[in-house]
Parts: sequence; structure tokens; C-alpha cells
Amino acid sequence: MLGKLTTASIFMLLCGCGGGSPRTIFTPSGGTSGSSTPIGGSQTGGAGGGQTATGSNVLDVVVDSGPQGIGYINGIFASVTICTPGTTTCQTIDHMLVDTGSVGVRVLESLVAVPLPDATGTSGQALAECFPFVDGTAWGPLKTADVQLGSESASGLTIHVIGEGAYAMPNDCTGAPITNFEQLAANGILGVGIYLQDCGPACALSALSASNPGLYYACVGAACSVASVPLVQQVSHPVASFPADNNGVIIQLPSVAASGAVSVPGQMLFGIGTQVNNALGGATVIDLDRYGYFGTAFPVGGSAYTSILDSGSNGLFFLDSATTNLKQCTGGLSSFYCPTATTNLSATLLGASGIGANVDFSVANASRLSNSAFVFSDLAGPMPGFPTDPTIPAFDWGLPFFFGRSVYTAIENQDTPAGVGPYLAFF
Amino acid sequence: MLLSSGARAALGDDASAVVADQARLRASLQVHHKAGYAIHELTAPTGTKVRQFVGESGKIFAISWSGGWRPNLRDIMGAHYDRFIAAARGRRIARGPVRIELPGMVVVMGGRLRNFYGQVTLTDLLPTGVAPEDLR
Repeated sequence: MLGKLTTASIFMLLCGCGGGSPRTIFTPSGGTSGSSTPIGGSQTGGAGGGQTATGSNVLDVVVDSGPQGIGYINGIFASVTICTPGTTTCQTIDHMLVDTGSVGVRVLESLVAVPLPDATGTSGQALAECFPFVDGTAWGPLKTADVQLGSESASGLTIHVIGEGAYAMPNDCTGAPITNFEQLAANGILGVGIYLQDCGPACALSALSASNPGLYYACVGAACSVASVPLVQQVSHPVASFPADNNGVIIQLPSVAASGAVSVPGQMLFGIGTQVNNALGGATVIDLDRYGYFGTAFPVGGSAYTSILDSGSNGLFFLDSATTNLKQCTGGLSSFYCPTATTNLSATLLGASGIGANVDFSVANASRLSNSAFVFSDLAGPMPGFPTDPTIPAFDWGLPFFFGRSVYTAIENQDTPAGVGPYLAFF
Repeated sequence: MLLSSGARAALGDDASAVVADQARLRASLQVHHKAGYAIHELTAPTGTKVRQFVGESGKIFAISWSGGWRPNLRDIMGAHYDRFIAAARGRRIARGPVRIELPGMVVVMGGRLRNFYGQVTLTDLLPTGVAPEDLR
């Protein structure tokens, strides 16, 4: 999931532009994002990073400064079309954050212009959700929509509508509220992670069970209380709900020069090994443990650390200054590293089975990044909390990892040429 | 006693509230002793492990959580919840790992879908010579 880690300060420093007020952005049905041509990458053949793929399973994405020019750093976005189920009454919403760290379509209530029926639970009551992101919690009703991504479609999908127009955020839904554009800093989230549903079996348990984490609510009038929701009615992976090309996604982004870029086009392909354009080829498969984690040996041959890979994180977050000898920035940039000179490093990504591949990466001085660019392959910072708990991830490979690569995310329980998901793969 | 209280053991509370939490969460409780403090570790049926760090005064000076979903932060932070929210609201939304420093309090949060972790520490109550990063 997880997104950009960007403080107000880095926005000021790198952008200097204001947030502006939310503006409704509608385009007619079929008005999906414009065609784009990647600027070229370092890979050749297969589903190579930066190659232009064509086919029915391709969705254009872009890494840019975000909706309304808010100055998002390293945000990867796509346009998503939502339709009243079973109709051609549709709208396309741009700048949905593409997030391999979460699952499900979430869109701001203020942007929804087409009629969407309430998603209802077993008792017929309208449902709502309290969905945790890393440092905030999104609240709002669940709706049913037909969702189109490029030319593929998921019918009758349960999606999360973010806002308090229907129901106020309840007291037991805690964390910094995400209920509007200023708090979300995107028009929505396109969660394309490893799970079939955002919550899964735990939320299907009795609402009274101590094992139900209480994400879903049933609402009567204005009052909402924790509910049990069966898997099929939960917020679900849009791609897994396609009739075909439904076992995973591949994100392809070109390389980015050390000086950064204003905007970078890329693509998301649906399916793994289902079409000529989405073969695994020579990609290294990284299998995951039961928590969805893999390992990173750093430096190469060194200690292995618990790790995640997440297009929604806007930097490479790993270890701490004491371990890496990379100086931490001060002031508003203290979430990032500020080494004296750009530092080139290597690590080995290791699957749970012990198979892995080496990767090279760079850490720039975050305080010297161009203030006219919004895309950086060398933005990195320490992992907050490291080394407190050895069970938590010490590496979060965020969007910089994706530049110049094809990164595969295989969905749980879905069959692929490399076996049943979940797993990650890249080249 | 186990059935008598709806109390939540929050930051700054007395450690006796931990027992009530154990009952409320139907959690298993383990106690570990460290130099200058004790760790009361509750494992909830949701898979979330909550560790309450108790100083020699008997007060809870830090709480961490890991695994599963994020616990109710209002319960965890108690009287400190509102100022945490005020500070978190002051940030632009961030979906990467976070560290928020407030007077007398440090909050760290990270993870992702189905696997969250975090720690909140009252720095003024830390045992002498112990840093938030030392708590494990």
C-alpha cells in the first residue's frame, strides 16, 4: 500500500506550490488516459522495463506531480473508469495512485458522479469501511460498480468510497482521518497487491469475535457498527475480478536520470503468462512467506532483513543511519537520507526459498534534489522504528525500485506459469 | 477481577490495567524482564502482538504493536491520542513508514495491508539510558 512518504516540508522544498482545493475531474465514458510513449529503458525483450507494450491488457500509467499539481513526489497514477453496474453510465477518474501494497479500488466520494448502489452485507444493511493506511485511516461507504481498467473490466466489484457524506467516521475507527482530497493527496487508490480481498477471512468472522479486526461496518440510519462481511462482498482486487488476465499485474517504468524527471510514462500489464506481452521470461521470482515478506541481504552477502516491495511508497526506506553510514537529513527532510555525495549500493533480494537476485541502487542527498522535478530514482530514507522489532520490515522497496524494471505482482491462489501466487518477480 | 473491568491499558497508565486488557482481548500474556523495565506482551486472536513497556514506577511508558491489523489507537494512546491526531493531520498524507516527534512523545508507524507495526513512546518516562529504539 502504501504511499508516498512526503512531508509538508518536502512539498514546499521541491514544489513550492499550494495544495489548492479539490476539483472534480470528470471525463466521459471511454475517456481513459491519453496514450503515452515511454522514454526508453535499459531492458530489452519480453516485458522489458520501458518497452511499449500493446494489447488488450495494457493500462497507461504516469509518474508525475499528482492531481491538481499538488507536487506529489514519486507517485504512480492511472485513470480508472467506474460505471453504474450493468450500464454504460460511466466516468473516468484520473490520478488514482497505483498501489501494490493494498488491494481494492478506493475513490473520493466528492468525485463520484455516476449512481452506484450500496454494497450490502448478509443482513441487507449498507456497508462502510474503516481502512488503515500506514499513517492514516480512510473512511466511507462501500458501493458496487463495474470497474474498467483500460479495456478490461471487473463487473459488480465492491469498491470503497472515501468521505463522510453518508456516514460520519465512528469513534472506534482510529488514526488520522482520510476523508477528503487534502488528506488523500490523490483522487483515489488503485490497490493491486497480492491479496484477493483487502481484509480476507478475518473480516468474515462474527462481528463479536475478537479475531475480527473490525474493518467493515454495517450502517442503519447514521449509525455504523462493526460487521461481519463474507469474502465475496469484501473490497476485492479489481484485476483478480477480470474474466481473463486475472492472476497478477506487471508494472513497467523506464529508467530515470540522476537529475530526476518532471513526469515519466509507464504501463501496467494485466496477467502473468496469459498473453504474448506478459510472459515471465527471465524474471527472478521472489516467493513470499506467510506474512507476504521476503528477504534483503545487505550488503550483498550480508545479513538478511525482512522486506516489502511497494509501488505506493515514494522512496527506498531501509535500515538506519547507524547501519548504513548514510547521513540522515535534518529538519523537514528528516525522513530521508542526505549523504555527502550520491552513494551507490547493492543488495540481494531473496525469496523465502532462498533464490534471489542482486540489485544496484543509489541514494542521493535528498536536500539537493531538483525542485523542478517530481520523479527520482535515488530518493531514500531510514526505516522508522528499525531496529526495534526484528519481525517488522527493515526494507521497504518503494517506487524508485520500479524504474527501469518490470515488476510482477502475482495474486494469492491464482495459477501462473511460475506456480500459484502470491509472489513477486522482476527483471 | 478478569471480568470486572472494561479498562484499557493506555500509555501513561498503571500496568495493572494490562490484566484487564488481557481479558478484554482474550489475549495470551507473557512478561519479560529487562534492565529498568518489564515487557507485558499480549497476543490477540487477530494475530496482532501488543507490547506494553512498564517502568519501575509501574507506569506504561511505551506501547508497540506488530502483525495483523493496527489496534485501536485511541485505546493505545489514551490521553495522548488527540495531540497525536493533531500532529498526524498536520502532515500531508503519507503512505510510507512514518516517524512523528512531539514534545515528550515519539510515534513510529509502518507496515501495510494485513501487517502493521508501530510504537508510541513517552520519552519523559523512559528509564534512564534507554532510547525508544532500544525497546524490543
